[in-house]
Parts: sequence; structure tokens; C-alpha cells
Amino acid sequence: MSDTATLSPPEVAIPADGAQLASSTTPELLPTMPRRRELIFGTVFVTAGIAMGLLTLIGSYIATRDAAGNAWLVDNQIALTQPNMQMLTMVMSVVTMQWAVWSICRDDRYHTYLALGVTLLLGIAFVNQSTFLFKEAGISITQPEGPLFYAVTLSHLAMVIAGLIFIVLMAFRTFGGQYSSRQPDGISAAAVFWYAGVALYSVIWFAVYIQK
Amino acid sequence: MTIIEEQRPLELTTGLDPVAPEAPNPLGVFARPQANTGWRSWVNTVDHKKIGIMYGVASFFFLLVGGVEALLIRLQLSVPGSQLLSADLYNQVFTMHGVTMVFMVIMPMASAFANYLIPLQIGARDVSFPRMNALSLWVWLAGAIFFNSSWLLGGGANGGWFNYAPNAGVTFSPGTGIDFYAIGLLIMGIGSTVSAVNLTVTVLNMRAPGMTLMKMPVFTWMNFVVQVLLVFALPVITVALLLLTFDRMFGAAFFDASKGGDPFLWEHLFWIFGHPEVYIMVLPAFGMVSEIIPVFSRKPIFGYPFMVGSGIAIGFMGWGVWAHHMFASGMGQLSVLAFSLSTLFIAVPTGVKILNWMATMYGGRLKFTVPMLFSVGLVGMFTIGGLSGVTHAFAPADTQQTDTYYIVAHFHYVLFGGALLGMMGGLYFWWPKMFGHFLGERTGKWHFWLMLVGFNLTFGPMHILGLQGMMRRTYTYTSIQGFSTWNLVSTIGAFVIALSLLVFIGN
Amino acid sequence: MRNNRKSYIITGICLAIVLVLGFLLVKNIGLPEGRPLTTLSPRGNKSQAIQNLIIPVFAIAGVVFILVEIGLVFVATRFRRRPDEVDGKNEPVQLHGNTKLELGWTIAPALLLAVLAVFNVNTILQMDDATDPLEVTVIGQQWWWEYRYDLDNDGAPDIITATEAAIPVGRDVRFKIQSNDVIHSFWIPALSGKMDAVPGRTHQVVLQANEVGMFQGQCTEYCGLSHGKMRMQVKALTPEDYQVWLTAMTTSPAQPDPKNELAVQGQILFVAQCSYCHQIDGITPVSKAPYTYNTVSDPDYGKTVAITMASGNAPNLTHMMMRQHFVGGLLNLYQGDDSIPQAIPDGVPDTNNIKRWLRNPEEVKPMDPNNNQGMPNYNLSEAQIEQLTAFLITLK
Ligand code: HEA
Ligand code: HEA
Ligand code: HEC
Ligand code: CUA
Ligand SMILES: [Cu+2]
Repeated sequence: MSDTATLSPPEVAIPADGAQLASSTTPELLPTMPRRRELIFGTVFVTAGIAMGLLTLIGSYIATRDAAGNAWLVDNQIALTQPNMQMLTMVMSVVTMQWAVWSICRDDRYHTYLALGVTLLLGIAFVNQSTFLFKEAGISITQPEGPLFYAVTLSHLAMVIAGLIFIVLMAFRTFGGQYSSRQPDGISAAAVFWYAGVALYSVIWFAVYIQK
Repeated sequence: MTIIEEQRPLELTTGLDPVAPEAPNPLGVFARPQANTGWRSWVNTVDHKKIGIMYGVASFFFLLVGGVEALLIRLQLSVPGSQLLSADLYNQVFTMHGVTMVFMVIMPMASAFANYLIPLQIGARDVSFPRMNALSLWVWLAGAIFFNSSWLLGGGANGGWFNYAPNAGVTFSPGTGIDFYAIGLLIMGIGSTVSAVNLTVTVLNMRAPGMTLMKMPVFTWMNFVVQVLLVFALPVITVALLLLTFDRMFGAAFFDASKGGDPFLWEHLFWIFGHPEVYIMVLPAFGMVSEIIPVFSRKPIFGYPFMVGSGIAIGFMGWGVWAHHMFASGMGQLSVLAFSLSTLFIAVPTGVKILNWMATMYGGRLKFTVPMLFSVGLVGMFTIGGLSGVTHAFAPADTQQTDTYYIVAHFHYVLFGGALLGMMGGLYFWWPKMFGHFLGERTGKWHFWLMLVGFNLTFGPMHILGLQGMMRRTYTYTSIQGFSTWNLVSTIGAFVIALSLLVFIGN
Repeated sequence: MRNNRKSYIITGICLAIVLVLGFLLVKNIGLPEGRPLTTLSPRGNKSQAIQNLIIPVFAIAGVVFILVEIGLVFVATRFRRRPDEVDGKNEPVQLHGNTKLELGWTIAPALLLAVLAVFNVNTILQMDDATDPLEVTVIGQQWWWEYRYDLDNDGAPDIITATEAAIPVGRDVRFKIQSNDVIHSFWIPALSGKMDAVPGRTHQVVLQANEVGMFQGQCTEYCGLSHGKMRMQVKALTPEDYQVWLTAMTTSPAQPDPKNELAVQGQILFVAQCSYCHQIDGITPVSKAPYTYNTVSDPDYGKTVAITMASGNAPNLTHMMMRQHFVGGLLNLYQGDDSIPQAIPDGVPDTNNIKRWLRNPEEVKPMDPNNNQGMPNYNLSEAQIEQLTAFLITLK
């Protein structure tokens, strides 16, 4: 098998010719097979990159906290109620997001909209909860913990907001009829991104708030 | 395999098609509704081939820039107590040299080949997101120009290419060079990340029917591994650079020990990115050599699954060894132990590649064309660098070697003797495919032999210098330290390399 | 095949050349003469342990290197395409691989490395072992090293000196390494490997000198402008000499002879101009009689006024002339051979070097006093330089 692989793949490549040649006259319209999953793959890798960035920040946070020892965040009271509620909100949003994917795959537009709407609502609630938490914890940017704490939480918040925008965009596209059971990629991609946001929140929830 | 090649005008992956390299490619360059000639066709293009060529041209330009910086380094060090460069200027020059070579030469040159060849090798019309591809190129180029503009705007970065905190903070480096470093690399990083996502998706998604993963050419495979590594490694450095920028510009204290930050953090973040980065630089060259050697041995590559597997293994293991750059950092005995062991075993998958290339040649009918010479040169030279790498992996020994010229020798043997030689081979090999004519064989051979001799003259003596205790990043030394002879040899070698590159430009 | 003979001969010649060259190189590079920083002539127990680990590794790497390169040259000459071979007719066997062979060369290096790993682990674990060590705190700052000896373990330093540390031969020494500004690395190649000095942390290097000697060192972590000139020495003395050194260092220096007018002038000038950064016990303002180090508490020792320097520290000059080198070993304090360590140096002071430094410190070592890094140039007049020098050489 290796010979064809390393030197010349033509015999496997030729079948593609027809389609490819045809495509050269009508470039933008190629909703045929090969293009189909690009959005989703692209999202997966972009998400992976963002996740790596956030994990780096969280890792930095933990490393610095360990180096600082017991002095970390002694002056601030962070009651766990808020983070726990946020975690719960995020978990619920996973269910609703999955509901949206499930619905679009069954061409159930009504429920898709509903599910996306509820997810959006939960996401906005999360943003709201975060700001409340910041106020309550009163961590100042000038104290040693400040910059990293906000670097972690605000970056994640930015990711959540990006996720919300992604969902809104996809919802509009669904209105426009782009997505259906035949082509649910947009919704799935938004879901992938959203789930990653939730997963990362669970890391933050544990590493930043529970462990403290 | 190559025998059959003559019967197959559709040959895609080798450059052995001298007759009609420009003949209409059935899988074709797709014509966009844009200018096809003139400079506009280059600026507006979203065609992966043109983008590839532009990456190539830009990276070659930066090779000359970084090379001239290297020549300055070598001139300064040619004799003890030289006054050519001041300490400050020297520190800028070696920093700019390192960063330029890594981020503006080796990486984009690999991008050039990847952009040009991957779609062809997997039978795709173009990359998945052609517009994003053009964006990557221009963003990267903007970053590179921004970074180098620091020469004119107050002096280059002077923190070394790994730019350790807290020396990189404003207290100790008040100049603007390091801001250019941080922001320049951020911009380039964004370009590379986008491009990496793009190519990963291309490989996963755009393969022609029947082109299963395990049928992909080794070159595509290695680049695929590289792009995945990039997707995961670049965010780490991006975050670190952002934190550094905040430290420098807005008075945050992420890395400042006196304000509760942790200078170790930067070291870890940099090398978590930095070690995967070195494999990012060498794997594309490995991929090219894996294409070239079989062709001129007239044999298929020996052990395709092992070649692919070892590439993947390097990709994975590369994540678990970063702290071998920190054996003398005082991170604690346990960490030293763990990373010393993990580093030792990364020699195994690389060794498989070396031996498989030799096995490919064994029993073949070798034709020493220029690309083949460069490939064989890579096998020989990379081995030297790899073996010195293994001697660093013994942590107690590394505490004697680290930050000496022995390390400088190691990484030039793997970077120059590995990555750059491989890409030179690739350039000669695919040149006819890209530009429709062969490069001169005779001059090519001159280029190769001059480069090989010059390279060994330059970097071979550095092993000796390093073991004799010459530390790196020193702008001067005294005659009583006993470094004079070999430094002079090394400088002469550097000019032989320069000559070889002039021969290449002439070609 | 036909060209067998030729290819073997070529391979043989290459091998011979490589071996001869290799031998010539290896034979010479390790020698310490004229190479004060060589890593290949250990003079201490830890550096010896490192040597014992790495020499076999070098040997094995050398063998692998020779095997691979010979193999390469052999394959390249032996299987060269000959002019009479025609495409399509004389094709080589189309071999796709050989799983057994490949597994072999995956497993064999792995086993080899596993064996070496055992010795590696063993050496790593013994690097920090020490019995009854002498503890010396080493503080790096741009671009010089300070040493502090706390002899009675009361937390306050009893000896503070710069650039040149003294240790007794045959006793374990634990250097506790710190930094006042950026990351530096402490390295005395003849005695042990490197250890970084990181602000906010204390690291350790354990070593023991096997013989008397003046061992050169060098900062090896890039630390800014003058990193290349940040050198230091460790002088290993016999235990008796070391005691002599200790006694001298813990006795307050005598005030300059009132008849030595130059020196008296110099002292006044020093207190006026230099004590802003430099401490001389018993002379500069903060010290009170009786001038013993024990009365001063760490870490504020040496900071007489709110010092503006980024590192907050300048060399303590109390016993400057007890050393044989200053400014990081770039300059000698005494005329003649500086490589023989003396407990109390008794040579002729090299006043030219001191004057050179005072005339323009940045000419000796690039510094950036405008950014509070290093010693400023005070544009002293020649007369002032004479006076300061006369004073400084009394500091024994
Ligand atoms: C292309 C880039 C590249 C590559 C491929 C490598 C490959 C390796 N490197 Fe290198 N390295 C760098 C680029 C690279 N390195 C750079 C740039 C630095 C310096 C950064 C800086 O400080 O500025 C560095 C520094 C560096 C250090 C830190 C040194 C220090 O600063 O103290 C170490 C320590 O372990 C190391 C180890 C290794 C090892 C074990 C390999 C292995 O992957 C090598 C494996 C290959 C072989 C071993 C040869 C072939 C194998 C055989 C023929 C099989 C038989 C072999 C045996 C049984 C041993 N490298
Ligand atoms: C792929 C990467 C790469 C490449 C190819 C090179 C190539 C070279 N390098 Fe470099 N080097 C690094 C990566 C690389 N280097 C890195 C990462 C560092 C570490 C930096 C740090 O410590 O932070 C380093 C550091 C480094 C040092 C150590 C500096 C120090 O620690 O103080 C030295 C010293 O000799 C050196 C030398 C050279 C030389 C002589 C070449 C030569 O091979 C260069 C050959 C090229 C030329 C000679 C150019 C030819 C020019 C012409 C033909 C003129 C044409 C003219 C015009 C048209 C204008 N390099
Ligand atoms: C702003 C602070 C500052 C002032 C004021 C200052 N120095 Fe220094 N001095 C330093 C620093 C910092 C060094 C260490 C330089 C180095 O080796 O990198 C040093 C080094 C020295 C040394 C070499 C010490 C050694 O052991 O290496 C001498 C001698 C010296 N100074 C003398 C003087 C004299 C005399 C004056 C007054 C005219 C003076 N200094 C004023 C900061 C200062
Ligand atoms: Cu201090 Cu380098
Ligand atoms: Cu590494």
C-alpha cells in the first residue's frame, strides 16, 4: 500500500476530476459532498486553539497561586453560591443546545428556535451572574491576584459571549433556511463551541472557585 | 514505483515531470474572477499556489536578513575583544537573528511548501478556506514587517529569542524592542494559527475520494502533524505574549516576582510552546526528504506506516519534554528527573526515521541529483544534532552544557542541518513544478558542497567551544579564555555559507 | 556487485579520516591549560560525577554517530546508480518495508536508552547530597555576584563580599542561590553544573573542591546588557588557609594610617560620593562601632540610603583587597599571576586597574546607570582618582 501513498496517488485522485473541473466554472456553489463538514471541522480546531489559550491562563493562575501559598485571596470572600449557580446554568444550557441540534436534525424548526432561544437566555443569565460575582468578590485589579483572576474569568466570559454571537448568527441562518436535517452543520458547530465553553467553565469552576 | 511514473502524466507528488510542468493541471488551479497577471494578481490572489510562492519569497528574503545578522554575530566573535558591535547592539542582533530565523524563515518556508503541495498531494481544488489563507499570509507578513521595523524605530528586541522574564519587563528593558517582539509575534501567531486551522481542515476534509489517511504522501502527513501541533502550541505563546504586553504596557505584574508574579511562569509557558515548536520546524523537512529519497533511489519509501507513526509519535511526545530547557532553572529534582527521562526516549521515533531513510536507499539505484544530495546531507547532519540533543537529555550533564555554544551547535545542526537543508532540497526538487524549469545541476552541486563544508566549519567547532566553557549570548571573550582559534574557524565557515547562498541566488 | 571494492575502500578511508580527526579533537579539547572554563576537567566531586555520567554517553553517541555516518557513506557509494543502468530495465527490488527490522530499530535504541537512564537517574539523585555542608548565600544582580557567609547561623550574615568566594578544600559546600533583579545562572564549570538565580526563590548547588585552586565562573543565563562580562571566581583553600581567611574577614579593617594623607582624603571622598551605594563596615554612615558584621541584619545590610539601583545593592568593599579580582574577575587587584589562590593576598596592588575602573567604569563593563543598572561614571578628576585608589588599597 505504501507505494501508491508515497509516490503517486493519481489512480485514487482521478475520480475527483470530474467534480473538480465542473467546479471551476461555478466556484461558490459547491455544496456537494466534500465541502460539507468544513465549518464543523474548522470550528473544532478553532475551539481547540481557544481552549488551549484558556487552559494556559488557568494553568498560569494555578501555578501563581501555588507559588503564593496561603496568602492567595485572603482578603476576598467568594461565596460558592454564585459559581455553583453559574455551573448549573451552563449545564442546563448544554441540554438546551443539544435539544436544538436534535431538533434541526429532525427538521423541527419550531423547536430549534425555541431551544436556541432558551440557550441564549441561559447564556445571558451566565454573563449577568458573572458581573454580579465580580462585584461581590471585589477583587481589585491592583492586588497581586487581580490581573490573573480577571485574565482567566474575563477571557472565558469573552468566549461565552462569542458563543452567544455564534448562536445568534446560526439562528438567523436557520431562519434563512440554510440548515436542515440534510445540513445541520452550522448549529452543530455552534454547539461544539458552546460545549467547549461549558467544559472550560467547569475547569474554572473547580480550579478557581472550589479549590481557591 | 517511479518506473510507472512515466506512464502517468497525472503524476502529482513528485517534481519529476520535466516535460510539461506547466501543463494544465487536471485538478487545477482554479481561476478566480480577478486579475491573472501583473502584481495585482499576487496581491488579490486566494490561490494556494500563489500564496505558497509568496510565503517562499518572503521567507527567503528574511533568510538573507537573518543571515546578515548571523554574519554580524560571527564577525564580532571572530577575534577576542572585538569592538565591531557594542554589547547592546550585539544583544539586539542575536535576538533578532534567532526570532527571524525561527518565525520568519523556517516556519513560513514550511508554510510555502505546505500551501503549495498539500492541496495537490491530496487532490483538492484548493485549501478549505482560500480567503482565510490569503488573510494568514498577509497577517503574517504584516507581523514580520512590524517586528523588523523595530530596527528603525528605536532598536531591536534584546531579550533573547526566549525572552525570559523579568529581564523582559520594562524595569530592566525600557526600550521598545521587546514591545515590537511581543506584538509582532502576536500578529504572526494569529496568522499562523488561522493558517494551521485551515490546513488541518483541508487535510481532514478535502481529500479526493479514495485518498484515505494512510494513503497520503508522507509530506502531507508530516505537515498535518505540524499543523495540529501549531493549533495547540500557538495559543500558549499567544497568551504568554499577551500577558507580557500587559506587564509592559499597563503595569500588570504577571511575571514580576517583586509584585507577586512568578518569573518561572514565563519559562514554562514559553517552552510548552517552544519545544513543540522545534518539531514544528523540522517535521516539514522530514516530510520533504521522505518524498525525495525514494524518487532518486527508485524505490518506495521503506516502512511507510513506521514513517507516519513515528511522525505522530514525535508530535505527541513533543508535548511532554518542554522542561528539558530548564534543567538548570532550579525547578526541583523531581521535575528534572521526569523531564530528563521523557526527553531520552524522544530519540526513539526520530531514530526510526533516520534508519528508514537509510533502508530506503539500501539496495536502491541512487542518483545524486541536487535535491538528493541535500536530503542525504540532512540525514547525516541531523543525526549529529540529534545525538548532541540526547547528550543534553542527561540532566546533570546538561547543567554543564546548557547556555554554552554546545547548545548553539546542537540547535544549528538540527535547524540548519535538519530543517534548512531539507527545505533547500525541497526547493530544488519542486522548483520545476513551481516555475517550469530546472535549476542548474552544476551550480546546485556547488551550492550544496559549499554549504555542507561551510556549515560544518561554522557549527562543528561550536561543540568544542561549548565544552570548553564558552557561554552563549556573550558579545565578547578574552584571549586568555582559549576560545580564539575555533571562533575564527567558525567565522570563516559562516562566510562559506554566505558564499554558497550567493551561488544559489545566482542559480 | 561490480564496484564493491571501490565502495569499501572509500568507506574505509572515510572511516579512518573520521577516527583520526575525532581522536585528535578528543585528545586535546579536555585539557585545562589555557582554558579556565572547560567543562571537561573536573576538580570537584559533583563535577566528577557529571563527568563519569557523560563520558560513556559521549562514547556511545560517538559510536552511534560513526555507525550512522559510515552506513550513510556506504549506502551512498555502494548503491550509486551506474551509467550503464537503464530505467525500466535495471530497477531495484521494490521493497516496502520490513516490520521486524523496523521494530528492531525501534526497540534496540529504546533498550539502550533505558539502560543509560538508570545511571542518569542515579546521578540526578546524588547531585544535592551533602554532609555537614558549609552554607554560602550567593546573590546575583546586574552584573556581579555577592556572597554572604552566616557562620553562626543566626540569620545575619557575618561576611559579605563580592565576586570572589573562598571555600575549604574537601568539605561540602552548599551555595544557596538567589537574585536581586533578573534571572542569572551561577556556574563554576570545574566544580559543578549551573543553577539559575531566580528572583523570589532560593535554589541550591552542592559542590566540593578536590584541590586548591582559583576556579573561574561565568553567569550563564542571559541577564541583559553585560551578561557576557558577568564573571566570578571561587577560590578553594586548604582548611587551614580557609581559617586564616575567615579570621581576617571577620575582623574589622583598620582605619587608614593618618599619615597616609592621600588615603585619608580618599576616605572622605568615598564617604561623600560612594557610600550612597557602597558599604564599608565601620566607615560608611550606617555602621556604628564596634564595627562587626554581626550587628547588621539581613537583608537590608549594605543599603545605606534608599538606593535607587534596580537591584538595590552594590558590592560591599569592606575587605576588597582580600580578593585577587574585582569587577567580576575582569580585572586583577594584584600584579602578577592571579591563578594561585591566597588566603591573604600579599602581592603589589595593581593600582592601574583600580584607576581604570574609577576613570570610566563603562569602558570596562557596559552598564546602564541612567536606567539604574550598574555603576555611574562620576567624572572624577585624576587627583580624586589617586586619593580613592590610595584609600581603596588599604581595605584588607
Ligand atoms: C529542529 C529543531 C530541533 C530538534 C529536532 C531537536 C531535537 C532534540 N533536542 Fe533540541 N533544541 C532545539 C531544536 C531542536 N532540538 C533548539 C532550538 C534548542 C535551544 C533553544 C534555546 O535554548 O535557544 C534545543 C535545545 C535542546 C535542549 C536544551 C538544552 C539546554 O538549553 O540546556 C535539549 C535537552 O534535552 C534538547 C534535546 C533534544 C533531543 C533529545 C532531541 C531529539 O529529538 C533528537 C533525536 C534524534 C536523534 C537521537 C538522532 C537519530 C537517532 C538515531 C540514529 C537512533 C539511535 C540513537 C540513540 C540510541 C541515541 N534540545
Ligand atoms: C533556523 C534557524 C537558524 C539558522 C538557519 C541560523 C543560521 C546561522 N546562525 Fe543562528 N541562531 C538561531 C537559529 C538559526 N541560525 C537561533 C534560534 C539562535 C538563538 C538566538 C538566541 O540566543 O536568542 C541562534 C544563535 C546563533 C548564534 C549564537 C549567538 C549567541 O548566543 O551569542 C550564532 C553564533 O555564531 C549563530 C550563527 C549562525 C550562523 C553563522 C548562521 C548561518 O548559517 C547563516 C547563513 C546565512 C547567511 C550567511 C546569509 C547569506 C547572506 C548573503 C548571501 C548576503 C546577501 C546580501 C544581501 C542581498 C543583503 N546563531
Ligand atoms: C549608583 C551606585 C554606585 C555608586 C554611587 C558607586 N558605585 Fe561603585 N559599584 C556600583 C556597582 C553596581 C558596582 C558593580 C559593578 C559590576 O561589577 O558590575 C560597583 C563596583 C565598584 C567596584 C568594584 C567592586 C568589585 O568588587 O567588583 C569598585 C572598586 C567601586 N565600585 C568603587 C566605587 C567608588 C570609588 C565610587 C565613588 C566614586 C563608587 N564605586 C560609586 C555602584 C556604585
Ligand atoms: Cu547574569 Cu547573565
Ligand atoms: Cu526542546
